[in-house]
Amino acid sequence: MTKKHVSNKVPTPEVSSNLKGTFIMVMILGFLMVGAWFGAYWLFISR
Amino acid sequence: MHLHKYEKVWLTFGMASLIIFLLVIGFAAFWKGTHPQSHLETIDQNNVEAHDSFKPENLGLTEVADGKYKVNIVASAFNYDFGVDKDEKPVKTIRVPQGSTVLFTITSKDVVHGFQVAGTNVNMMVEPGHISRYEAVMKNKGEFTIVCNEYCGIGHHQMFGKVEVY
Ligand SMILES: [Cu+2]
Repeated sequence: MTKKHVSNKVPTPEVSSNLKGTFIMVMILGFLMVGAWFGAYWLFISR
Repeated sequence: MHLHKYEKVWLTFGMASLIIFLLVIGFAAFWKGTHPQSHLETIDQNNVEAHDSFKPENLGLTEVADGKYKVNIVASAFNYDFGVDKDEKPVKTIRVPQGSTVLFTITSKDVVHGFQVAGTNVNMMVEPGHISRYEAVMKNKGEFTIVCNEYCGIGHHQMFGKVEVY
C-alpha cells in the first residue's frame, strides 16, 4: 500500500514539467520538415 | 500502455504528415501519371540513328500540334545535338511560346549525361541504351539554360544549350 502510494505521487509532476521544452523543440523540428517538404513541392508546382 | 499527452500529439502529427505526403505522391503517380524519366524504353547506343526520333533530320524542335512541341536530342561527350538550322549551323537555342507543352526526348551515345533546363522541372538523367522523356508545360517566360548535371568527363562544362520561352 505504501509502495503504491509513493510511486503514484512522486514521478507525475516531475515528468510533465520536464518535457515541455522537449515538446516545443520537437514540434519546431516537425514544422521545419513539413515546411521544407511543401516548399520543394511548391517549387515543383510553380515551375 | 500509458502515453504522455505530448507524445500523443507528436505521434499524431508525425503520422498525419506521413499520410499527407503519401497521398500527394500517390496522386501524382497514379492520377497524374508522373513516373521516372527513363528505363521504360531501350535503344542501341551504337546506332541511335536507327531510332526514328534520333534520325539527324528529326533532331531539334518540331511542332506536332497547336501549342504542342517535341524536342529530340542526342547527347554525347561533350555536346547536345539539337540538329542544324537552315544555314547548316548547329542549333543551340530552342524557342517556344509561353504555355506550350514540350516533350523532350533524349538519349546518350556514350556515357551517362544529365539534361536539365535550369529553372524548370525538366531534369533528367541520360543513360546510354535508354531513352529519357519528360513532358513539361512552359508556364513562365524567360531564358532557361540547359546544363549537363552528371559529370561526364573533361568537357562536361561545355555541354549546354538554351530554351527561350517568349
Ligand atoms: Cu555531359
